[in-house]
Amino acid sequence: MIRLKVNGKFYSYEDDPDTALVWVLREHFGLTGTKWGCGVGLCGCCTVHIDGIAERSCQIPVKRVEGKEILTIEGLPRDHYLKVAWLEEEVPECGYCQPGQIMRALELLNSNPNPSEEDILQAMDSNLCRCGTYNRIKRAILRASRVKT
Amino acid sequence: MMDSLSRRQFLKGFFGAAGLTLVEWRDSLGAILVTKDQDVCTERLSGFSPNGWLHISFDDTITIFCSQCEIGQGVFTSLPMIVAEELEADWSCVRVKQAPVADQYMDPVWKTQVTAGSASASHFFMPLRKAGAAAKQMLIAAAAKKFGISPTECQAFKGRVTDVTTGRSISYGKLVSIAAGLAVPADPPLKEEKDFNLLGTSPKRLDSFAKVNGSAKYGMDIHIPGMLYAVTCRPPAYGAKLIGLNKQAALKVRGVNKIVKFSRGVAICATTIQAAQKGLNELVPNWSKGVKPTWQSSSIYEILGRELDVEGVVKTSRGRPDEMLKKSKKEWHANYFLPYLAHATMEPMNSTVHLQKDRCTIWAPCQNQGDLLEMAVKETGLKPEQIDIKITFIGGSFGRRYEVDFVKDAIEIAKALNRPVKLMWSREEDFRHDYFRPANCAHIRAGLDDNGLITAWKHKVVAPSVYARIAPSLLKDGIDPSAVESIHNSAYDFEHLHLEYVWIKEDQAPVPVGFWRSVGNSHNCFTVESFMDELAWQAGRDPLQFRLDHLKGSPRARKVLETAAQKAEWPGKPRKNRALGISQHYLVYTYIAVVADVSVEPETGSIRVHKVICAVDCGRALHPTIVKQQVEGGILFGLSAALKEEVQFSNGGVSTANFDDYPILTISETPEVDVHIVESGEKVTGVGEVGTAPIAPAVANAIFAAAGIRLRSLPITPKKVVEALAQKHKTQSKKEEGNWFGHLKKGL
Repeated sequence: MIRLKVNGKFYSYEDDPDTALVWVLREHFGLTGTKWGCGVGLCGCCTVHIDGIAERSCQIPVKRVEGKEILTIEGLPRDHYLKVAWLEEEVPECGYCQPGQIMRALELLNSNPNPSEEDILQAMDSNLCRCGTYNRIKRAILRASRVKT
Repeated sequence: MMDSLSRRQFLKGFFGAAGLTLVEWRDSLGAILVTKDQDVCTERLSGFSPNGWLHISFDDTITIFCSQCEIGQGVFTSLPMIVAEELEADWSCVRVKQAPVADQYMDPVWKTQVTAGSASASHFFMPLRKAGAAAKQMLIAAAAKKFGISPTECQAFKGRVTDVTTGRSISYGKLVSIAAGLAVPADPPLKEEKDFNLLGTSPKRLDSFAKVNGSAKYGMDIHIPGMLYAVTCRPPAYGAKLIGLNKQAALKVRGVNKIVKFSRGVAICATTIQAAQKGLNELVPNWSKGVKPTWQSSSIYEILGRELDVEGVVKTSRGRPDEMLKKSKKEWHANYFLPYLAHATMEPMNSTVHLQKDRCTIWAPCQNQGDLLEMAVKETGLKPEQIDIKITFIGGSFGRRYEVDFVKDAIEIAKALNRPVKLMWSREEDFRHDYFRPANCAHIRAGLDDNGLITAWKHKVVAPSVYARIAPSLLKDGIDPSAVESIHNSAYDFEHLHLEYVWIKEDQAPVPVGFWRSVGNSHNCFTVESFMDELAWQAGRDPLQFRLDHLKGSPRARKVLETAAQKAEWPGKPRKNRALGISQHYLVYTYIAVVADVSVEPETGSIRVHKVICAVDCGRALHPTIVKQQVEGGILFGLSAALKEEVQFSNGGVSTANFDDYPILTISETPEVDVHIVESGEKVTGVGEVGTAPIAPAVANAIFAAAGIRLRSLPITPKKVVEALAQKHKTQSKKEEGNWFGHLKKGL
């Protein structure tokens, strides 16, 4: 049995320990806010935080994260400044990539509360969006950084 | 049916087609929505529901049902706004629900329930206004009755009816009992458009909150107790047949429940997704070679090049094109090539099906409810009323989910099981079994007169046909209407025009093709607008003015061009290796013009698009922010294709597998996009696709202005740029030299 701490709550998992974390979160714990997009770590839809670091949960066997702090989109408070910024800038179109985008942006702002535009482009460059919301994502992160600092 | 609303039709609609969602009338208090499946029994709606579009509860909550699918284009906000405007609803009390699949919700023009063709806002504008207006008239009548006054003494505003004489007022929720007992007016009066107070504003999208907190349920997120997970393997080459597989090894994997052969492959069904994937790894299927084992990336270009010499079927021949060409002072011609493109939605194809003896429930991220129901009836042998289709949020479509293939797979698999099944495609399957945007080539020839104006335009399109599979009855005389769209019916006033089409058939090119955001416009705008630019240069004219001179009959097209050019400060300052490029397009009754500010790095051939300025006229912007979102997104979708995308083939099948070999635009490559809405006050038209078409030619035209190289094949990769620059240096002639400021200086 593997014990996992997700969004401050404890979960137990008893199936194959090699299973990718994304499936355990989604299909075993019902935390479907974390999305599955490509399965090989290229799109960023499945981005979650593991001990504060944004990681691709499709690339991480669940056995590797026992005892670590996992944070998913569901773990952000209702009025979290990034969610508010995303709403203010009307970022989502289809919305599928946005939880991953927000989790990636959260890591950026945690480590760099006042990012330049260049910092944002660099940090966000491997989180794909097919609807073309990139400019709004950039504006939302700038807005969020202003609110935070 | 949409135009005359009545309660009886509402009932009929629900009973007749959807079957599982019923509306029961309870005395005079309105409707409750129930489903036969008690496990997923929807909430009760008691209150007032004069038609299938809206429901008002005692607590003033207004539920508006959306017939269209929310694919990201904002219909869950823009369509309810239309109802709420006429209803004079308090927008803060409005919520939206996906309507079921039912005749009631058919597209009034297309007579099927489908979300496609940038048509939702324009096709549903009047029916939804009437729905809201009918309810408002009934609420006013109810208030008049309650107050004991005439309806003419009452006014509805922001969810309340007010007695204009005394000022007393009552909320809609308090009127539902009386209103529910009144007749539904068939032809209620509508507001004057100048009196709109909600439409034309940009309230927050109703779907955004669920999308930023992770609670929005997409097809991938469906979980039904007791369900199995299905993953599949499919033929690696077109037409390949299964020869053998290691069934026993796969069945030995713990959790694997069943292996099911279906018409397009083999499915491993297991109690967990990880068991299904492990089972798939053990399967080791052996496939035959397929129908065209030598098919590879270059194959389509060989065919297109060859077929360019073939005489096509004439779509339009007006005026005297040949005679006028001969009389021209100058003739110019060019060939253009465009690749197969994938949709690459962020949410891969998936569907969940629970098939039982006398009913079937389907959860699908699908934009084509009408075809989905028809297919499900055929596959299951059940009656339409025994099939319950639940459309989920959709993680991107761009035309891909007009197809219902991924749901058909799930139904076929479900037939072999006695429990619900969730089918999930891998990203590799999603790429390899897409219905691609057809590859395409065109030959254009035109003449210029003494004044630098076009004398005649001859255009040949060579391409596989989308309609041959999707709607063969529309393939009149062997002409695919999408392959030639927006050439003979562009905004340009070409008096002498000849247009023909050469159909690349499936036995020549085995690649299945389908609708891809903007469909044929994605080819034809590139070829027409690139060639217009070539002609402008040949005539020694400003590309903007040259276009304006050929748009005398289209003031709206001129207006968007002038607006975009003005906002972009056309023609811009002369800069080394950097210039502006312009294009315009007319698509589904919407006018657009874009200016792209592009630089070329001659050493590496890399292209940088710094900024895109766009002007769009969609008649009236119902929700300006959503219009901007759609146009921005459409432009970036088109830019991604213009610079990066091309599906690769080898060994008779698709070799493109994932985002590493099909890179799409990233945030660091994204230009600033400025969208300016030109309000013409004309009829509301669609904006979902219009941005996609004109960006590729604007970029190609800017590259020519900046570097003097004409890129006539997409995508515009650094390799092609470097090759074109080398070619230019080899054959440099003064005439073809780049910067048009030079031309102006030389007085050409």
